Amino acid sequence: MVALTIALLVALILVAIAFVLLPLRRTAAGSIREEEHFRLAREKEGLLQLLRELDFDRAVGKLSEEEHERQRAEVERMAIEVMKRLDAAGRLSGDDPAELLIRVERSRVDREAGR
Amino acid sequence: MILLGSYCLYVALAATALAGALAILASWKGRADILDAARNAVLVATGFTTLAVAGMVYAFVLGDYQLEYVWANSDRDMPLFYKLGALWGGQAGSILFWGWLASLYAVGVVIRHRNDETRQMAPTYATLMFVQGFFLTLVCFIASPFERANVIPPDGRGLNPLLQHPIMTIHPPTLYLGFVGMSIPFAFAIGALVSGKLGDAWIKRTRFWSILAWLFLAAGNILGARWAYVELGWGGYWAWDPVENAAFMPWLASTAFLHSAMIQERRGMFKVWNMLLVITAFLLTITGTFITRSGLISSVHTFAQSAIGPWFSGFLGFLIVASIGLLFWRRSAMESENTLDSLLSREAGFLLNNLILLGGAFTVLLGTFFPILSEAFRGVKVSLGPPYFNSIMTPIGIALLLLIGVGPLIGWKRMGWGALRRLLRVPLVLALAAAAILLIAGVRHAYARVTLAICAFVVSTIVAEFARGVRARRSSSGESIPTAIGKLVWRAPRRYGGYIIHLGVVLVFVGFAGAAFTSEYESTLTPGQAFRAGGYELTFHGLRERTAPGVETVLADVKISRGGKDLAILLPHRSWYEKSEQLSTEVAIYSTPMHDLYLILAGLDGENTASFKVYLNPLVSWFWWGGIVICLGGVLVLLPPRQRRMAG
Repeated sequence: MVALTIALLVALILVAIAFVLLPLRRTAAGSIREEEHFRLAREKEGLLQLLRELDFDRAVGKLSEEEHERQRAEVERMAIEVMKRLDAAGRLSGDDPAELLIRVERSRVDREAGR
Repeated sequence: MILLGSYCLYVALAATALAGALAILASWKGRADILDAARNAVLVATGFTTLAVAGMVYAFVLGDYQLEYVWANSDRDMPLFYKLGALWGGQAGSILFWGWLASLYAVGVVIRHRNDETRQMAPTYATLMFVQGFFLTLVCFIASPFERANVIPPDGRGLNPLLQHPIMTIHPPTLYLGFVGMSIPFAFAIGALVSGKLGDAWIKRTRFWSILAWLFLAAGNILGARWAYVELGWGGYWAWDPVENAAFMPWLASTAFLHSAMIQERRGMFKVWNMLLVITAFLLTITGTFITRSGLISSVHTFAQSAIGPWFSGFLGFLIVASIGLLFWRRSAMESENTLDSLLSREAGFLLNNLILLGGAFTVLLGTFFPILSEAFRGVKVSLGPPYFNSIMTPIGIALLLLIGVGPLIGWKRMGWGALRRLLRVPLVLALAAAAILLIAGVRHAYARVTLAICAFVVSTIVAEFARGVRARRSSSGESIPTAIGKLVWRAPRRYGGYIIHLGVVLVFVGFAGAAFTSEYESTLTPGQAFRAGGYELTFHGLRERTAPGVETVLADVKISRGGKDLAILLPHRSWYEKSEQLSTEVAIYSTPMHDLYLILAGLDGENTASFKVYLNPLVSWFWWGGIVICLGGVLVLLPPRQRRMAG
């Protein structure tokens, strides 16, 4: 009984070792650029969420029209900066309505600046 | 199977060490392939730990009493239900259970974060494996549940009768899931500190895990309170016992973190503070396990004690030094991206909430460790009882409750006083009206009156928040009110789940307020005699006996009536457990929304005479319902926001 248990355990350990070593046959993946994209994407997500919060706060009367406009402009400016950097790397997903609005806004700002 | 299980424990420890070493190598080299190998080693460690747990469960089911742990925590007559629960009924098994849950959580991290960056994830896995490795080391070398005796006893000693309750099969696992779950945010925090990736990415990654652990801690605390209420038989559900405090402190700290994390996500502020909160919450869970397991502080809940105390204190000490050292090393990289724009802002509200919650956690920590401190400084062990905790925690709780009402009304960044005044007008009027009604109704207890008035205030602010959201939706889409509420919650589960949690907290506070009016009655009766408790009449009909394998029970048959109307037959009883030679008193409860009639069979005098103790506990059921609502809200908050659900 003990011998059978040990044999079973050894077999399990061998399979486990093979399973652990398997990924080392592949070449290394991932890069600093990839990590920068992760960071920017998360930053963008946070800013878009903040924009939605601001709109909601205005809708429920927590922010005046004037204060909402001022804060939204500031956050939009930050979001545009992040999205510019993501855009440069071809990383904008365009699946978020707030993101699309900012893209339109950004085009307008670019047009007005004669770019 | 049992033998295989015991061997698997050592293989699991080796695989855990290998996973940790590979993770450290991956962090150093920055290689994703090595990290993948570490991930596979994590899965292997979990597989072997699961086999060890399966071996232990099999030993309980089979009744292998040569295993000392199985002998000490079960017997042949115990139902299967309790035999499974006996796995965590003692010292060694509960530590094995801890390690197993840690390994399952690690698998969760592997699955959920399989595509995340190597530099951040590698030290995260190393930390997880370090924690898991500590618990597996304990069960391999210090307190093994697979220890065999030289003789084979015919039967086991049986599980402690207090633990033979259905709640005890779910309360410890729930609490452990909360304790162990806090190791995930902690590991991510350490991962961020080691890798230097100190933005908000680690906060967002930990969000799910923090809420999950928080939810389990909340459910564990509520279940623990329920068990104490129905099983310990002293009339209440919370006595500020060290083990209760051990589960409550990390919940307070993690609640503070969940609020504070939002500020870092939205505004890039409070980075050092958030790190501190995550570290504190996890260290408090280890402190809790230490209190429960070391026997350093006496507690009515301490079911398992041994010499593992020094190991825990060493582990705790290392974690404190290492994490605070890392935090100090990286402090300059964690400067705030923004400043506090105004004291009237959501950020300032969250900061105040954090200070109150941490103040509460510190109060509880101080009170819990006071016997050790007093012995160290004055040579006398002095325990601080409920009067200390209640005198400080009651005002802290009321302040927190008030903030729950005001906080959500305040917008991010900056808000005008005029806007706040407008939003507060109706809730304040309602709170004052509630206070006046309570005064007229004869509620003289100041704290209770203030608490209930603030509860009215908070409920009105929550209802108003929902109403504003519904109105905003209806004005733009013309939806019906139920549809608008449903979509409101579904599209922003974090916000509205949070409000539902707040509503649950209000219900819990209503329950607390009721505790101010508890009344107590005692009587010794012979069959046919009756006595009055509050508006109830209790008639004793006599004693009955019930015999089950290994358990002799005497039940008192008591009829409850009110205003001439019969309401229920209650059967409080006392059971004698032969194998463990322990007496257990089981209470009987008649519960209504307004109060509980809590009946204890306090003693038996002669053949047919019984002594009874009765507590009339007002509003207790509100506390349990509050707990359920908190957990439901927690489940909602766990849902990802709509945008991510659609993208996913």
